[in-house]
Amino acid sequence: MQDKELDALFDLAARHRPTPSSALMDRVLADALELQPASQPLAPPPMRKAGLLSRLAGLFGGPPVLAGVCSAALAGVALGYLDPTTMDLLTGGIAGGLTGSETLDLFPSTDFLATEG
Amino acid sequence: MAYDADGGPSDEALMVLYANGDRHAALALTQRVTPRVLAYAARMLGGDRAEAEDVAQETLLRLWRMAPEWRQGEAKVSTWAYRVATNLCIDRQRSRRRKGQLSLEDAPDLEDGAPTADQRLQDGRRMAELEAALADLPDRQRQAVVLRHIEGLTNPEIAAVMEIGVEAVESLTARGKRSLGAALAGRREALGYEDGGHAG
Repeated sequence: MQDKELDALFDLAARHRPTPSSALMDRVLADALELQPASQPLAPPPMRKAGLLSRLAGLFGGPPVLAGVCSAALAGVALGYLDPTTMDLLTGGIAGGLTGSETLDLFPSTDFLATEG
Repeated sequence: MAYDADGGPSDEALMVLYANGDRHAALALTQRVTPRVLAYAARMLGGDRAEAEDVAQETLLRLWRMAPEWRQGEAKVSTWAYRVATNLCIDRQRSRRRKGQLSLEDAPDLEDGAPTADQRLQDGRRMAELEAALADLPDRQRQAVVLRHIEGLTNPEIAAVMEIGVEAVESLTARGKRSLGAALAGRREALGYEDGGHAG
């Protein structure tokens, strides 16, 4: 048999493919729906256990509030316990370049604040 | 999402949707895969439609069962389905050897493309002869010839289905085609071919 005749037979077979009956399609679809996994709703992400810092921040109303409270506390401690002479560290830093009779009084009318007791 | 050439989601994407509970994906896969598997199984089983329908349903049943474990990119749905259908066909052929020579009554119904009753009769006879000759081929040759020349798969696709190399596919299809040509050469009259030409 010639190749072209064989190819014509293949072509005939390819054109006349058996088509599935509606009964077969129904059976296959019924199997599909019966075995189909149930749709899973999206689960919320798992809750992480809050750490000590988070719980402490929660008591104060949140991390920003806690940060503000801590900053105020540190400032209060500094103002209350720093030796007044150490203020030179601050003023010296600013006025360190001044020489001779040049003076810089940063707090001219607040001397009373530097006295303790 | 991966899309097919026709613009719809690919078979593999539909498998993922099916596994996620999408009922439309179940319908789409049924409509896409069942005809392919049925046609292939019918060729592999010598035109036995009832057996081919059983094979098609069983193949799809296995597809549904393994859908939750389906991994995109690992295999094509069609490759997987052809492979499973092949194994089922070979199992059935081994459990019951062919029912005997096919008769004209076994010829498949040809519903369209054959304009006259004579043409339909002749096409049916040719199909029956081709299926009988295919059925006499060794399993691997028949599989390769059907996938290449009737289902229209490429050699690399057939190699994936049969889990062999492309060169082995080429060898199987060449030998299968030669054997078919030799088997049908003696049936030219039944096929409606006259010596040296095409009568039909």
